[in-house]
Amino acid sequence: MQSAPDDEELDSLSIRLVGLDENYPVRLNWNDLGVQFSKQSIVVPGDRLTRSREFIPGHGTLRRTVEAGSGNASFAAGRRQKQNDDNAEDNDEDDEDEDEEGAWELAASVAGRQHVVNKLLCVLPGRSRYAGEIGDVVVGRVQEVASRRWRIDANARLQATLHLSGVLLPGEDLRRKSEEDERAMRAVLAEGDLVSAEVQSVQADGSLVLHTRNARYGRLGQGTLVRVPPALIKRSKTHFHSLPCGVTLVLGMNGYCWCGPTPGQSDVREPLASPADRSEVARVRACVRLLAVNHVPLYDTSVMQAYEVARESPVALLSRPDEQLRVARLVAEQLLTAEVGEAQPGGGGFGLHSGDLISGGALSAVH
Amino acid sequence: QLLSEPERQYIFDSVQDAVRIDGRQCLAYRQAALRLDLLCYATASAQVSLGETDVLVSVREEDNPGATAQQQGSTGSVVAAAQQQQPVSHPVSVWVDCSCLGSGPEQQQLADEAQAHLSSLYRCLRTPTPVFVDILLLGYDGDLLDAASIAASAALMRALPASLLSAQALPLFATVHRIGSQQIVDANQLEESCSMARVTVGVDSNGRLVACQTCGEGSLQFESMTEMIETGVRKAMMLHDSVAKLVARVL
Repeated sequence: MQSAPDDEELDSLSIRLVGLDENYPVRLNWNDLGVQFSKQSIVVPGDRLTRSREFIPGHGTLRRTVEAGSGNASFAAGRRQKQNDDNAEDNDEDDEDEDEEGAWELAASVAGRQHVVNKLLCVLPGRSRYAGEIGDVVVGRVQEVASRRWRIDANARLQATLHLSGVLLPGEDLRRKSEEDERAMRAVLAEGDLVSAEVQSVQADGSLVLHTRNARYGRLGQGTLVRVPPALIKRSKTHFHSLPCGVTLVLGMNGYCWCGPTPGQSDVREPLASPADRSEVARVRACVRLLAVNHVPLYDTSVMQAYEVARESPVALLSRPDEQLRVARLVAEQLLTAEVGEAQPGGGGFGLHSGDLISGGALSAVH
Repeated sequence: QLLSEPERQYIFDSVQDAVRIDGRQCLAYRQAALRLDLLCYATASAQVSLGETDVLVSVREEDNPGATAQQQGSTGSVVAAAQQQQPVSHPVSVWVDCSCLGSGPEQQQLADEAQAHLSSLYRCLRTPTPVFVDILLLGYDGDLLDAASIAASAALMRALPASLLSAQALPLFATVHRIGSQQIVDANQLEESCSMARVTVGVDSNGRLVACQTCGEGSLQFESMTEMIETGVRKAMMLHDSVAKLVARVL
């Protein structure tokens, strides 16, 4: 097979020599773009968040008692006080008095950014395992086909479960689940299959229960998976994006993103993608990856902007760190100017940014 | 690696259409970066990153030419070391460590296979002093053999002034995979799991084929294999040019 002369250019191996002190690969530095954090907003475990009673403790916070009279909080003091309370009789009557006297405060239990929604105060860690919330759209891979359920790897601490009753079988409303369905589970989803699903519930041990009882969820067809840090996926109304270039992008909240050619409208079995389609899918995949390594939050706008910027470059170039930095920087600047244009003034005393843009992105850069 | 059937088919068809998952041409390498002299305790060291594949290679040569490893191990063997011996040629000893990637069975299997393949490939190289090549895998996305050989060669070239090894003998390996009817070089992990068979060739700086290894579940016709070997030799020569230029620049 002869390759055309211009192909040899991209074929030629270029090895880059990196100096010992050199920082390679260089990733996007959000501080350079003028993003600043108020010192209050980023916390580490143990930091006091508030003493005010009006806040409800959310994720990543803990309530601890402060020694009366002193500004210091200590766990030992809190425990002593609790022991005294337990030993004392007539607890019911004393309860009210205790609340008035015993000062307590909310402290952070994880490293992350403070987030206030009405009266709920929580700390969002910048980089953690995907925990899962009800209603999240996730992309998972089937690990095991068990009795009446599938066990799915959803990038969480535990395997997620998809029950046979949680999938949409053909002829759904017309029949009950039968034994044949149980035996034919592999015809629906086999080991290794990628599936898009929604989180139905979170069990007590933290494992997720998924369901695909909606026409848009289900087994994913031709395409590839990209794995990104879950914190970078911005929550939005829809996670299924049909991009104008003919690529379907599914941004799972668990960090598994799937890009594939948009299937046609016909009922015929999925036709093979054309080389042009594959090139577009490769470009979108490269855009998702370059945004992820540069800690830019992922949502349809950011991916589309990256696509627009990267449209002229050959796709293979988008795997090079310097090109990735260039594109990510342009996208970040555009997103920041858009953000500033829409921003509402100020935030709470806890340094709330109108930037959801900033939440996952710059925080993972800080880590 | 666990992959769904549509994914596997997509990778296969993409390669047939000559548009790989990351948009590369079939015979294009990923961007590689080379760092030298990271480890102070090794005779020489080099780190190569080829895409997400990241290998750190440390090369140690035994200080005492002529003494076998066994003699050096025993205590108070000064007499033995001082003995004049006939020049002995030693094979290169390779060790691969994947502990940075995890402690699961897949990582262990990766390390074991890589060690077996590299040891077998490096049998073409005999050194006057025992040379130990230790490979630490910091990241893996396919094409470990090529990356390891680039790093090992760069490190060995750095160690050259002190050693009796000649620069011409150092081999570089180029791996060519066959997927369907197409050949690809520098396969990433997904492509490797879809590949039918691979041919790895070792070429010295004069263009001489010194090692050839095949692996995989599929079978190759003789013509296909010769084509793959030719491609591998061509790519290995390009690698030689690049590595030699870089090492010369540092020296």
